[in-house]
Amino acid sequence: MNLRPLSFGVCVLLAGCSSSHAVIEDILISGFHSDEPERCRPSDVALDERQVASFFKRAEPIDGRTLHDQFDWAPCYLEGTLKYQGNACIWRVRAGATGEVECSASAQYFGCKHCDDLFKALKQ
Amino acid sequence: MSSVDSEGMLISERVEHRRFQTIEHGDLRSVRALVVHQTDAPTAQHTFNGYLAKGSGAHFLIEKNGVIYQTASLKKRCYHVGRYLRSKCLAVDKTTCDTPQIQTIQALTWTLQIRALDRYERTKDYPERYPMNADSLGIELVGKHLDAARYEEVTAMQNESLRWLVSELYGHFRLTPADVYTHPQISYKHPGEASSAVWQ
Repeated sequence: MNLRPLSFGVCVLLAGCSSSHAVIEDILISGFHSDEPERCRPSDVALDERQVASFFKRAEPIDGRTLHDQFDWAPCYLEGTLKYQGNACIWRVRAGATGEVECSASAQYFGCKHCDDLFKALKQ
Repeated sequence: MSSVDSEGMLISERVEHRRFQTIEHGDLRSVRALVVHQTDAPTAQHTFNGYLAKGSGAHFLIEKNGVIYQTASLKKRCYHVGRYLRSKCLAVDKTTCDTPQIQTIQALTWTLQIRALDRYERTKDYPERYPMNADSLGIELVGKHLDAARYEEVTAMQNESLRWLVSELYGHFRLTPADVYTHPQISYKHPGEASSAVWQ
């Protein structure tokens, strides 16, 4: 795995962290986790750092209700770190084309309905 | 003791009627199961406001102080289950699954699996599958989603009201404790939703 941080910025709206558009950068993948390893596998979220950046760029910031109503909660995810306004944050991208960014006490969900090329499973 | 009137409303001093026809979608032919949800809203009023604007919702809503609202007729279908059903045979007893078909489905990627499993499950009758909108009632508990793992704890007053309501619905629809589910048990939802709900 390439552990060199991705150092190009991605402009997203982190509503839980700030009320304005901000740049997230230094995206680094730290690992994969699955609560159902037989069914939700690394190949379901096979993204590199550039693709993770693309996900957060294209995804919409959503609240928990929208996540609940319009997306499926996948039991496996890729996770890592990024920088937002100089602060270290944790990100996750799930197999159901949803994501989370947690910066200290706040968190923001993301959902992407136009990321089929990133989640190749959708195109099979 | 409660009764059900001709409009499908539960008659009891413990139930306040706040019916929203905006969340009713055709007739509910049978009630075979109950599904317990949490709203991800801080108050009942937030959910009422949402019911005015959109099509999904549940039949009952229990406020944090235990007040029970009936928000849809027991004779009407609500959209509360979600898009894709989980597989009950995979979760409860794998020996009851059609093994070759399940193996084929499980070889698919996760996104395709959940679609294929849903199609497979919908060929079955309840209770071999999990309940659908067409054969279940939804009960919402007011409570916010906290983070990727947790929802707010269901209050003691909510659980007391939930126990009473579920008990009444057992009697009206000949249900048993085996017919009550939490939302993430039956669909692909946040695993913390209704995890602290207690009805027996």
